[in-house]
Parts: sequence; C-alpha cells; structure tokens
Amino acid sequence: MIPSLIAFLALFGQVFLRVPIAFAMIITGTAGFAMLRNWEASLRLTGNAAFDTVFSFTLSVIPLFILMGNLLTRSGVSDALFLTAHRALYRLKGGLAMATIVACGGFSAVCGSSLATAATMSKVAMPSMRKTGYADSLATGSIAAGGTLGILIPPSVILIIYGLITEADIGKLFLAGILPGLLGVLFYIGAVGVTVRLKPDLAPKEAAIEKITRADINGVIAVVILFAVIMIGIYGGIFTPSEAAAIGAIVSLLIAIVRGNLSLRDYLAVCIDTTRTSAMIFALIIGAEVFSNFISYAGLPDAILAWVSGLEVGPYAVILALILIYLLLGAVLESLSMILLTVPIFYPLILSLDFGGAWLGDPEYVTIWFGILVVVVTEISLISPPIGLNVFVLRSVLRDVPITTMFRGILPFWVADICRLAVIIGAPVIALILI
Amino acid sequence: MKTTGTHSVSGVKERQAHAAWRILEKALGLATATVLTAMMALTGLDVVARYLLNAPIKGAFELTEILLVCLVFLAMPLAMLSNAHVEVELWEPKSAIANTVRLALGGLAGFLVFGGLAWQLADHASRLARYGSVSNSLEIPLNLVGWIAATGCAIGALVALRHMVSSAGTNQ
Repeated sequence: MIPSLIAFLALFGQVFLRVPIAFAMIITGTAGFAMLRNWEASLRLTGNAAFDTVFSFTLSVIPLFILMGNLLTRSGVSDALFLTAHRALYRLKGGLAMATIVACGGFSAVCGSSLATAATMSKVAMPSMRKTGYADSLATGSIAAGGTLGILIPPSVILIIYGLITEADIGKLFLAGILPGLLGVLFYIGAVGVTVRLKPDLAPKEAAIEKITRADINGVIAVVILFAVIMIGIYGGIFTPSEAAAIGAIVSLLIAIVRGNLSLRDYLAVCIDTTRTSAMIFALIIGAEVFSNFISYAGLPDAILAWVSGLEVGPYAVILALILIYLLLGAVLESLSMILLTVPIFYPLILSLDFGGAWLGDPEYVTIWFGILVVVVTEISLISPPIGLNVFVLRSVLRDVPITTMFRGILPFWVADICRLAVIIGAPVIALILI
Repeated sequence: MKTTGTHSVSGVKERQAHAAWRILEKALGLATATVLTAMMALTGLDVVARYLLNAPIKGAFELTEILLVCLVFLAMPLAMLSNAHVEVELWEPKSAIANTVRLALGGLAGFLVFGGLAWQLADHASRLARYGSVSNSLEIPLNLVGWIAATGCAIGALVALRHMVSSAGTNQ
C-alpha cells in the first residue's frame, strides 16, 4: 500500500509540473518496480511492455478508426448532418442548438473521439448560431456537451481501451453504447428546451433555413450506411473491429474524394495528424501498462479490494463512491489517462460485488455496464471545470468567447448528464438490452 | 521552440539545424503516412479477398502487427516534435525561470523515457536476433521490427534533448 501511495504522489507531482502524463507513468512505474525488485528487471520489463503492447493486431483498430473520423471531418459530412438536423428541428425554439446536439450525435456515430467531434462541430454550427443571434453561452455549451457523445456512441476509442483493459468484447461494448448515447441526445435536447424556456432571450426566433442540396442528403445517407456496416459487420462476426475500422477508413476516403475536397496533400496531412494522435494514445497505453504492472506488483488492487470488502457496504454504495472519485479525478486528469490509471484498480473490485437482479448477475454484463458508466462519467469530466478538455478545444477554435461563458452555458447540459448517469445506474437494461 | 540568433554565424547554423529538423519531421511524416495507408489497404484487401475471392491474404494478421509497431514508434518522435503528448495544464508558469524549468523537466522526462526505451528495445531486438525469432507465416525476422522501434525511440530521445537545450535558450 505505501509504495503505491508514494508512486501516486510522485506521478501527480510530475503531472502537476506538466511532464506529459505518459512519460510520468513510465518513469514512475519503472522506478517503482526497480525499488521493489531491481533496475535490470524493471528496465527489461518496461522495454518488453512497450514492444509487446504495440505488437498487437487488435490495437490496429485505434489508428484506423481515428483515420476514419479524420477523413470524414475533412469530407465535410458534418455540415450535411447539421443542415439536415436543423431542417427537422427549426420550428422548435432553440432549434439550432438542438440541431447541433443531433448533428454531434450523428457525427459521433462515425467518429471515436469527443475532442474531434467538438472541434468539427464548432466549425459547422457556431457560425450559424452566431448569425442567428444565439447567446455564446448556449451555443458553445451545446457544442461542448454534444461533442462528448463522441466517446459513447460507437465507434469509440475509449470503449476500445476499456475493452483492452478488461478483456470485454469490443463489439458488445459498442452495442452497449448506442442507447445511452441516444439517451444523451434526448437529455441534451431537453436541456436546450428547458434553458430557452427559462431564458428566452438566449435563442432568438429563427429565420428561414438554408437549402439542403442533394450532396448533403447523400452525405447523411453515407454516414448512416457507414455506421450500419460497421455495427452489423462487427456484431454479426463478419469482421473484427480492426477490419471494420479499415473498411470504414477506406469508405470515408472514398466519401471525401467523391465530395471533391481531398487533395493528395490533404490526405497526407490527415494521415500525419492521425499517426501523431495515435502515437500520443499508444504512449499513454504503454505508460499505463508499465504503471499498472508496478501497482499490481505492489498489491494495490488487492489491498483496495480487501479494504472495501471489510467495510461491508452495499454494491451500489461502492458504485456511487467510485463515481464520485471519477468526477473528482476527471476534474484534474485527462480522460484517457484517467481510465487507463483507474480501471485496472477498480475493475477487480466491481467484479467482486454482488448486484443480483436480472441484468447484473453475469460478470460480463457487469463489466460492460461499468464500462458505459465510466464513459458517461468521463463525458462529464470533459465538460467540467477547471480543465474540461472539450471546453478547451472549443476555446482554441473560438478565441473570442471567454472560458467562463462556456462553462456557464454548459451547466444545463452538466445537469442533464448527471440525470442520465443516474438513469443508467438505476436501469442497467438501457446499456445491456442490445447485447 | 524558436530562438532568434543575433550573430550571423550562429544564425546560419541555427537555420541549418532548423532545416535539418524540418527534413526529419517531413521524412517521419511521410513514412508514417505510408505505413498507415498500407495498414488500411492491407486489412481492407484481406477482408475483400476472404469474402469475395475466398482466399485470405497470407500473413495479413502479422503484417498488420508489424506495420503497427513501425507506425507507433516512428510517430512517437513526430508527436514529440510537435509537443502533442498530453499534459495537464493545471499550472501556468508565471515567471520566465519557472517556464524554463517546466520545459527542461518535460524534455528531461522525454529524454529519460525515450532513451531508456531505445536502449531496452535495442537489447530486445538483439535478443530476438540471437534466438532467430521470425513471424509465424511470412517468417519476417522480428529483430528488424525491434530495431525500427528502437530507432524511433532513439530519434524521440534526440528530439527531447533538443527541447531541453532550446528551453535554456527561451529564457535569454
């Protein structure tokens, strides 16, 4: 227990001094293991972990899904999604903000990253909302919150990583993300509705809507088909997630070429951007592997498990405590690092709990349900002060809107998220019924 | 990362060094983009070949694994060059000295990690060579893959070293 605590302190110390998290995890994990054993064994273990983690067919899914999302971003289908959603919703008050949410949800269905979804949609939705006279708070709030759906609605990089840590089936995790994601869309639309009812001047009445072109409709159809192919392909066992991602990337490449805005230079830029993001993610995965090797060797997961079983509290009390920990950690840690650091520690604990009931009797279901909970909590952390990353992504695109305005705009969506979290805890069936 | 040289000689040297880094960045970018494209095409073709032609590509699985290692370890220095690694910005250094210390620490951490990994991966690669390990069906020597990974990390260590050196320069 003591070595683990020292290690966590050392880790957070480095993180606070702005050492990249992946490096801090590798250094702390290696040094910690060397203290318990010796340097030679520890260094060799770290080297092997780095090589063996990356030498994996399963993980090729990560760069390929990122490539797919980046290509689609470049292809401009996000505009098509937004226009179509607005067409359906323009009669409602706050229709543009609602359309933003729906378009975010649609884009999430082909993009596995929340940051990418928020960044893409900010370029599409923000100009329209500005032109119509929406308050900056509502406009940025809807984009930042809608963007979080990227990691819940499949494909999702975070769910892939969760599956990697817990050995849960990635296809099933993806399926489990669909309904909670749609619930998120509904709750966010509700949040917009309540907000504009309470403060009508945030969203003016909307003028005539823009024409939808044939190309836009084709864009939306392409997204729907792409999503269906990926999900049916993975779930039907026709191809592995990696193969689905490769096919998705190829189709996205074709979509971008057909829509006529992808030069070879653009393609190279998209590829390089993809590899850079992938390297960053793999650095974190290697770091987490090294760090959790040490933490497990030091016996932290067992110690926590023994401690919690000694408390004799109910399973739901444990879940609530864990969620509270995630909300606090999420306020200061980047989402992927948070999941990589915590899931190996908490996961054995979750499996040891006896939830009973029709849905949570099976350990596989508990694993998947907990995965969805973790992702929803992570979504919340992405829009929580002080370092909600989605807000910072928006901030880098919209330099003239103050951070405080954005966080004010996010508040209703944050409340909606807490409600959604409560619903998924209370009714696991929402996550599990599609599996 | 840029420092502007006032003396003409150091200015020229600086520009040359800068150009060298740009070429390195371009080369790494081109290499990783090619590997990524190959990975996408290979996996896609394998599915098509399996279902439509009933003849899966021999060794597609292990080739993808090897390509992934090349992709990740060659992209590591690329991410390092553009400071893409995730850090938590809870603390914003107020003084120039604090900022120098922060940049130097980040560089040092990167140097330790990549230097250590390059060393261990080279060790791993030479072990693979000694055992004569090859991939399952195509029998590609795995030590080659290990050496590529080690090279990527070695470049990463150089980039980190450069970050450290230039962090001292930003203060002047």
